[in-house]
Amino acid sequence: MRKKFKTKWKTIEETIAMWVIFGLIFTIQVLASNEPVFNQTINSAAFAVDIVDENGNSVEHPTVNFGAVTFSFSEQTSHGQLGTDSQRIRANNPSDIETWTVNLSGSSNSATWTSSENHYHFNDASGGGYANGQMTVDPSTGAISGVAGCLTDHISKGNSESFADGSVDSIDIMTASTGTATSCQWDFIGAADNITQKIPAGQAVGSYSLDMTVSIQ
Amino acid sequence: MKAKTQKIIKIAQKTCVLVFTFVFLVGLQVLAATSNFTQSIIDGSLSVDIVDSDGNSVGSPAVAFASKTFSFSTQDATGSFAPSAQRIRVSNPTVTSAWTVALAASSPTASWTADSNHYDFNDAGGYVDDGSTTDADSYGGQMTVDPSGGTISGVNGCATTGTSKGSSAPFVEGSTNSITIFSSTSAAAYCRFDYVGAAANITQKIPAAQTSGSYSLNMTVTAT
Repeated sequence: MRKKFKTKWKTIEETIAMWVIFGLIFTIQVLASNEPVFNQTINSAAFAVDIVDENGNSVEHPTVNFGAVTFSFSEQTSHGQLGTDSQRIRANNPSDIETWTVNLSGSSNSATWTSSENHYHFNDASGGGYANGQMTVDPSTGAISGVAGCLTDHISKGNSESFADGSVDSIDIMTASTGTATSCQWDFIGAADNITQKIPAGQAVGSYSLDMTVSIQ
Repeated sequence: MKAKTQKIIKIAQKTCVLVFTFVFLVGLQVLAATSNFTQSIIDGSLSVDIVDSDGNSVGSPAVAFASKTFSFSTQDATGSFAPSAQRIRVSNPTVTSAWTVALAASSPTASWTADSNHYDFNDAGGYVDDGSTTDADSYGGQMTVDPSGGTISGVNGCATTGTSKGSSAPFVEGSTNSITIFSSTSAAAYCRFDYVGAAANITQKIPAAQTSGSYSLNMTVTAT
């Protein structure tokens, strides 16, 4: 009987101990007083990336419009701008982790520029990129700015790279290394013509589109 | 007492692990934004060029007529228009299938010229000037082009169905200012076609006693 009581008492003790520790971590004990203590816990949130306008408002349908080109029997290139002033890439780091990378990738490696039944690639290096289509992104010419005074120290822009299925599936836009300020936001604005798309010769006319994804990790 | 302390420490450890796992997972979350890339490829414009057998533009295309000796009689000179090394290439980067490639002079009043000497390429009188009936100038001479003996080929496998060669015709100022070389009514769109002419497919009638000299005349190939 006494043993049973001891076991139960032990369990009660363990439970109480758990609650006490939990309380210690997440709350501040309020001692009886006529001066109430207001408590507010702000936990670290997740990294996020968004495409925002110059006022910091989310752009609902961000787009990158490449210059229209005319049908050509020869291969040709077209240019676009990733990260314009009104569609800047904003990295949000509400955590205390210093390192992160923002990059650009296709919605999938097998995605293609598509207009009805016509396609060309964004990540095929064959034939110098012109045989089937290849996209090159050059973030190095862009500018990074900290939002609300956040310093840009230790944040670097990516280098010019071309997508190649299986080997270059994503291209870094900007990267924060150790020492970067935390709980901050940064905007990337690209330079004009910082994206080049190689278009195969004789590519059929049409309005092509391709979804690309900007990620942060 | 010691056992109790150990138990409490264990529970604290477990709680901490849970809390850290939660924070770690939240920290690792990847959020992404999707951007729609757009690219328009639109119709180009019909064009014509004179290219070599490799498809390279010929810098200064020319048709050299056989040299003739001064003669007190009328005579004919022949030239080969659009040989293989100076073929006529029409490029149709449009959805429209109908087009025509034609040869014309830079102007209907143009003439073969060597310094101050001239003869005509489009006088209805042939070897002699027909007066002012159809032609304002006073030079005889007439050029006849016969594209019918040439060949049309599609570039990069374009089928020639729906294309045809022009018929032999002489230039006549005012009525035949251009001569069709080849044309299409229903050929494949977004295609290129080459025309290679047969030898001696152009004949020029030279008036009697035409002054010796190195004559030249600019002609224009157009696609419409």
